Amino acid sequence: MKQFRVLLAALAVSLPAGFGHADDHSGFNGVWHLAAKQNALVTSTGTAPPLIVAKGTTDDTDRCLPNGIPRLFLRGTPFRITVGSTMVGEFFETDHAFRLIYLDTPHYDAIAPAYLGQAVGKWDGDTLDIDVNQFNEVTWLDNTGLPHSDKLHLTERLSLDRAGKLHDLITIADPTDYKAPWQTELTFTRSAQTTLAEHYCLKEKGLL
Amino acid sequence: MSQRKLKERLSGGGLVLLGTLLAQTFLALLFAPAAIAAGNAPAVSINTEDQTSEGVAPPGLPPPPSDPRDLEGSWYPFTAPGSGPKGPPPGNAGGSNLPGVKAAKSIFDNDENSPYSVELCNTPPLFLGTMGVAIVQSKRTLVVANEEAGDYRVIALGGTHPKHFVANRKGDSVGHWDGNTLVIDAIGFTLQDGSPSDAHVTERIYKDQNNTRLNDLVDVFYPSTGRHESRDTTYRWRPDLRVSEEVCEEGYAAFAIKNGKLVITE
Repeated sequence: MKQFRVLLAALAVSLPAGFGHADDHSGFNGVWHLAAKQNALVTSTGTAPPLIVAKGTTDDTDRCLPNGIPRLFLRGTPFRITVGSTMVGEFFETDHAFRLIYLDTPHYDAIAPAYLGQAVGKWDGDTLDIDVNQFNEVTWLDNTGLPHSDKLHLTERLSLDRAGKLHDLITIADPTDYKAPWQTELTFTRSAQTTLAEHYCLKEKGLL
Repeated sequence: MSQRKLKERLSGGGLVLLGTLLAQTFLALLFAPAAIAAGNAPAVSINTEDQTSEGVAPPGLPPPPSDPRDLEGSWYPFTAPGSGPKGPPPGNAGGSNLPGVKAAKSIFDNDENSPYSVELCNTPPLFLGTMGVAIVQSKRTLVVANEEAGDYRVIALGGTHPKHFVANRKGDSVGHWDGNTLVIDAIGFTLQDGSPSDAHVTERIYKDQNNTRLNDLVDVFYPSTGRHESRDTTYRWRPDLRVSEEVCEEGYAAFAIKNGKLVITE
């Protein structure tokens, strides 16, 4: 009996920290950052994206305009995920930006196209399916100048693996700038930071 | 029963029936004009008390969560006379961020209601905002996403302030439940110029009116002066609205204020 209890305790301790209960998805909660530094998005097969226009050369984030999605994930700073019952929030250290993913609801007509688009989502078991549209065309997709138009449509599948890592499988569809839809995947690990630092670009660039 | 008693019973019942009919006829005649008028009235009446920063709440909204401790959703402040924000708190120095002003610095100078903080574009929301807010709530964390500042604030539920905390513009917020009221304690603020503030904020948030209203009562205490400042705001449940993206930095793309002077950057 004692051996059985020891076995149970060992099993409980060995469960990865990110492995949450399937019904409340609490395993997604917390502060995350990219598992490895990454500046460029590549396709899931490791090739360059099928771009049909030139890369961007003027980076508007230099004058403190927002980074956009998925570039915010590539800035090397952490972000927090908070899973609610009707929304999932992603709160970024960079730009003090936030993205609200409204659950089980259709897209709505935005007042204007947005830097981070408009996101809706639904749970497919333990995976969060996210659908994002209504982007403006100001941002880059990554740090190397991958452009996009206002026709950009992202679908994402956010999931946890058994080791507690977070995976975001992103499908990028933009018929204006890319030959065909393509996929890329970002991997995140839990950050040692439990709070997010403040980031105010204008102040940091000495414009204030 | 004898025929006489039967007749008596029937006549008694008949009297009751007649009386009932007469009463109903009287009441119908009394209220008929109002009933006729109501038939010609508009289908939806406007409740001016429902006027928020995004207009009157439309009818037929889905109901809010019945749990009084579930604060999640989109909330917009009331603007109807007498029901909206009560304006700047007493003692707000307003211009204390101007160079050379020696007045005691108020934490409200950090807030979006300061005439200078919005221009400087680095003002996080210290409390629930003066435009729409979205609250995302998990078991241990409540995050307020603020439309006006395009910023957010994280409140650790049931937690304590960290021992080693670097003061910043947003401070550190922890909350606990007092019945169905969320009590938030916030410290560790800096002012816009980076100097520390001794402000100690206590915020009480609770729902009422069948969970369609959210009340935010704020008290700021400055131990160094013994002064209190307060602000109360009431919000309406608006699931038909979503917090829109506000990018203050867009206005700075062409110019900036540097050292108190306007500088054209492009």
